[in-house]
Amino acid sequence: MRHRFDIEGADHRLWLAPGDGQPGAFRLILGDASHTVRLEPRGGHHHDLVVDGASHPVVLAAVGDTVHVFIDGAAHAVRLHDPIQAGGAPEAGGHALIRAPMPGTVLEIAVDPGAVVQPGDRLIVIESMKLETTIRATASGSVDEVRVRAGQSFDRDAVLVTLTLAGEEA
Amino acid sequence: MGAPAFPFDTVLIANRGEIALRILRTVKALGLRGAVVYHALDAEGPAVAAADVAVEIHGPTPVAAYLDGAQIIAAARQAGAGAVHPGYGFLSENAGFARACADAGLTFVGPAPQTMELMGDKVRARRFVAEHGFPVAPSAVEDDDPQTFLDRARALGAPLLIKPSAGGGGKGMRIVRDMANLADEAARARSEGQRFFGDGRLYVERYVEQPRHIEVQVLGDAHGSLVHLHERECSVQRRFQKVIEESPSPALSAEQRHSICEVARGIAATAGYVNAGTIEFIWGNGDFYFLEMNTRLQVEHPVTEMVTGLDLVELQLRIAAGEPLPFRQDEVTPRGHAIELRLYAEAPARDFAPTTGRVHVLALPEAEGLRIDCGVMEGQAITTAFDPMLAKVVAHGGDRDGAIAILAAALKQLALLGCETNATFLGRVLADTGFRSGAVHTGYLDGNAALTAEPPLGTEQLRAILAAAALASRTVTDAADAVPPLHGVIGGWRN
Amino acid sequence: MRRIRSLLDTRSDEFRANQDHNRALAGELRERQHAARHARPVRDIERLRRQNKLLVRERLEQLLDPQTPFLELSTLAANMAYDGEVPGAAQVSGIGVVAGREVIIHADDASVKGGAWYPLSVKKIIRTLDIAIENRLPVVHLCDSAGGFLPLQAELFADRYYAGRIFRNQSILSKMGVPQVAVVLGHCTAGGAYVPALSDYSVMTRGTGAIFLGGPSLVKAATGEDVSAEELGGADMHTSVSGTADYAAASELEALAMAREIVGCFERPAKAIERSTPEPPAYDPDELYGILPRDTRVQFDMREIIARIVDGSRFHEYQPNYGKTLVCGFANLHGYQIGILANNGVLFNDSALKGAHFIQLCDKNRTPLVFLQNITGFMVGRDYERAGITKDGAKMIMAVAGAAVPKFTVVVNGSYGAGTYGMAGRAFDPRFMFSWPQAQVSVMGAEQAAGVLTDVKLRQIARDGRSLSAAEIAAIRDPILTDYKRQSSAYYATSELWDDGILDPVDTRNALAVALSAALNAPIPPPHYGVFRM
Repeated sequence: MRHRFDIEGADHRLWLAPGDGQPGAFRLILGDASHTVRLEPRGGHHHDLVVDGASHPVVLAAVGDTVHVFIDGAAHAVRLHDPIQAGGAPEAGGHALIRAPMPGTVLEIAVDPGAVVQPGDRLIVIESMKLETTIRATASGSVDEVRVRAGQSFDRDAVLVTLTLAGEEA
Repeated sequence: MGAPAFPFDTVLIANRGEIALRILRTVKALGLRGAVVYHALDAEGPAVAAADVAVEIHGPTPVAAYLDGAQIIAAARQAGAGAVHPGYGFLSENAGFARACADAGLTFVGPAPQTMELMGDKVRARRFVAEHGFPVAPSAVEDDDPQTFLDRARALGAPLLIKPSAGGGGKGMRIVRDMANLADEAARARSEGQRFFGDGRLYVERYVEQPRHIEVQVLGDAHGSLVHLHERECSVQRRFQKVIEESPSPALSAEQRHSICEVARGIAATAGYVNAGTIEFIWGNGDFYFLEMNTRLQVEHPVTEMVTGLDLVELQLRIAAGEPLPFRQDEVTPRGHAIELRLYAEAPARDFAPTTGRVHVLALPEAEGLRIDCGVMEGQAITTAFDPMLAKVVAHGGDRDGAIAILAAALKQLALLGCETNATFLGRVLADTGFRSGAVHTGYLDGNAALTAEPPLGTEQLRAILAAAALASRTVTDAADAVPPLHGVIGGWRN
Repeated sequence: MRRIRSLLDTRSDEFRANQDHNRALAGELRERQHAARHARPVRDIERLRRQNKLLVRERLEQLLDPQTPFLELSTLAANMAYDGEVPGAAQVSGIGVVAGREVIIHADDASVKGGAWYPLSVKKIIRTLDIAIENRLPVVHLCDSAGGFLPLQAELFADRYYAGRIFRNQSILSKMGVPQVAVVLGHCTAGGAYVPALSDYSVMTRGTGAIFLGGPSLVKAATGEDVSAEELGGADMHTSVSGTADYAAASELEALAMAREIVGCFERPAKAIERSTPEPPAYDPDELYGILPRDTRVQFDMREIIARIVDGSRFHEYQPNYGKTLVCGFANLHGYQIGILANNGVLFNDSALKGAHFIQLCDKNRTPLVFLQNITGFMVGRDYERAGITKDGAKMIMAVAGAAVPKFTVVVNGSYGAGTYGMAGRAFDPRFMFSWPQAQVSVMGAEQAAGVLTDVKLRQIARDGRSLSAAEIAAIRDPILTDYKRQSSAYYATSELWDDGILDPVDTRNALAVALSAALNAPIPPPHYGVFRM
């Protein structure tokens, strides 16, 4: 199926096909199964989602590539993958991106660009609410860039440090 | 009593988020003007929108702005305020600030500075309580020499709980079960204490295994009258921070309830306490120890408000204005059961790591017996600059099950989109047999993966989520709409 | 329009016997198609898997919009050539929907002889691009070919409709403003290199995709230079150094997603005619199997066929009482109005005149024409010649050749002699031409032709003063008949690309709809004819 959605790191593929001609009606194709689906607006972000005739109240907000879906008391962030990027291009050949495991602030930067690091070496110490977390090198190589400065706050998945992996330059 | 009874006509709220909004509500209901200070990050928040006057404050960090007493007093003057309500956190237990307010001719809504100095300092408060014959846990304090502290701690024996002397809110607290880790844990607690409170001194006490956290709300006036407003149990905690609070405590018999509330009243009365305060106890095996006193309004005060029918902020303002308490102890009659859920921007499944985002949609349910004190508005960014609490969902039912039912129904409808919250986790706790039976303790959530882990989505659930997401994605519906109608009707035909 | 009143007795023995017979024929078609698509030596599949390549049909499924039709053309091309070793002529061709746009796809099938181009491969590719030109259909090329099959180069290289025509057609498409995307998923060597180079857009996969005039071994032989395929003509080189290709992709999936995005940017031309709400036929198309007689020489009523193809089985018959061996009239197909000409017997003077007239009506009315062939030819004999049967047949041929509206031809049963021409045979450029499994195409019927050929032989023998026994005559006649039958079969016709494929009769409605919709991408020029001999 052509569209790829991510929910909490799990990949889901689907396709939406035109419905039977009723306005707003589509067919949701999941694997080999086809379901008739329709959204009925209920004002603002509120809708009734009708799947195979059964109606569910939902609250929806589409922001960029993410659709926030509130259904049955739970909010889900569903991210639409770009099919071209999802095709498998690596982020950068021979480079590793060290990302923030959670949002927080930078307490201390332990390395400078050019530093040679081994797996497990301290790169950055971050503070997230009331916990100090040390961000360590995941592979051996040299530090390309430190993308944050002390005191700076960042979101989850922000790139903190980039490494050039060892053995790449020889 | 109307507005003219107050010696001030404008109250500055030196706080933010839900508590600023909650205080504003009472201030305005009393016919007073409400002023707030705000950091730029809060400019789009609901308190600024609701205030009569809003004054921007600055700081090297957003939190620092709210800790800058001089700037806040200047703002109070600018806003024409005669009183300052500190809320909780920030400057609420800072005696220096209370004094500075008095010096500036502002009424500080809270206890006298000297009471704050006595009861707000864990070490002094504990000594004071013990000296007057109230129960305290075996403990040790740090004077100046870190080594002395370690020796004293060793003398107490494991298990131990280390806390920063100046602390609160669970920050910097460490449990030591193996004495070999004592030095390491102490060093870390000291570093965190230094960072959060500017004071690295430590305090250690016997750690009660599977303890329950029970606290008693007290209220005293400047005319010598002091009452308790019964207890709250706050044992459902993660990382020493409260998640669910309720009143009455399901752990206490009527006799025990009376006993703990009277001890609390005794401590506060002995201290000559004026205004609202909370005395926290550790409860375990039928015994209870004095833990600490919070010389301010608590986050969880709505629980008490709902069972007593009182407005604690109004009472605080009246007491600060010099009015006597309008009721006696025997006129305080709690009714029913109230429970508060703290809605946090955090991911329970990822060890309660804070989450960030922007509130794209906020739909708050309304129901009989339901109160939601919410500190965020649609469009507002959620950052890690402040505490991750977004809102408090409080229910008042005829009994505990009734309150739980109201909360469970509310969570099903409370839609906050754009920032991951602990809402479904709260729902699971409400449904948990452990919680429902009332058999909780402060370690109840620790390592309870069945509660913290997000259960996998069922097939139908997943289908509905994907259907909704697909229908709400322009990319996806555009692709469907682009299919020529003839080909759509024929479908996936192959010859 | 009125619903056709079917006179078919679906409970008759005749119906059931026909049904069994025609179902078996359809089953045989399906089997042969399945083999042509999927039966491959294991080592060829394994080689492609090792190269991290998708099979051509997996590529197609990634490229096409899910849940949309794909009308595959000439599925059995070359099925009776090259000892049957080049199924589908190593090419997949068809019309589908990519990112909401109707496109025609030309894909090399690298699981057949490494995607080498045989003479019939070249013919199939040229036909694909002719369809693109005639119907202004954007083209997606999925390139993965070993290049021209050298042992047969004399039959594929130099002539007007040999390989050069592919590149000529590509250039003409570009000149017309019909866009092409080439996705280079394997090697494009020598002539094949021009397919991406002449496309408006091209995407290459890193590692597997390569474009060069001479491959590494040829370069080594010619100049002694040692160079890898990637270095010589890989994706990064061509997209960053030579500019021969536009986009480099890390995988086939990414390349195909990129192609989809590119096609999504193409303009969507307005259809040449309007479409009304479609309606399925009132009669079950499955009953088509029971209509066609087991013996191809037995007559049947084409209205029964029409009733199982057109919307609501509704048909406005034109001149129902004149020239009755040619049924003419209007119907809707998936919402598009069409004019149908269907044979109910030999063409007489009046049938030919009626046909020529009706074609012009449709042309004036911008109504596409569908020819349902079951034609033994024009009537012969003294009276008919005196009445000008040739002259009247010429009028019909003149009208067919001159009509500007799209024409579609289905060889339902027989297609013989000048009847083939009058009913828009291949030479008359119908936009699409399909056959049913039992269709026969030849200058005359097999028995008749074998008789003529045997007679010639017997006369030669008689001149030598010899005479033959019945058995000896049969020994001469039978091989002629067998060979003639073979060459007049639908499988032979489709092997040689005399049509665009054999259809299971029940697929005819959808196939015509997809073809019709595709044809309406091109504007319809005003009617314009040669001289009708009066």
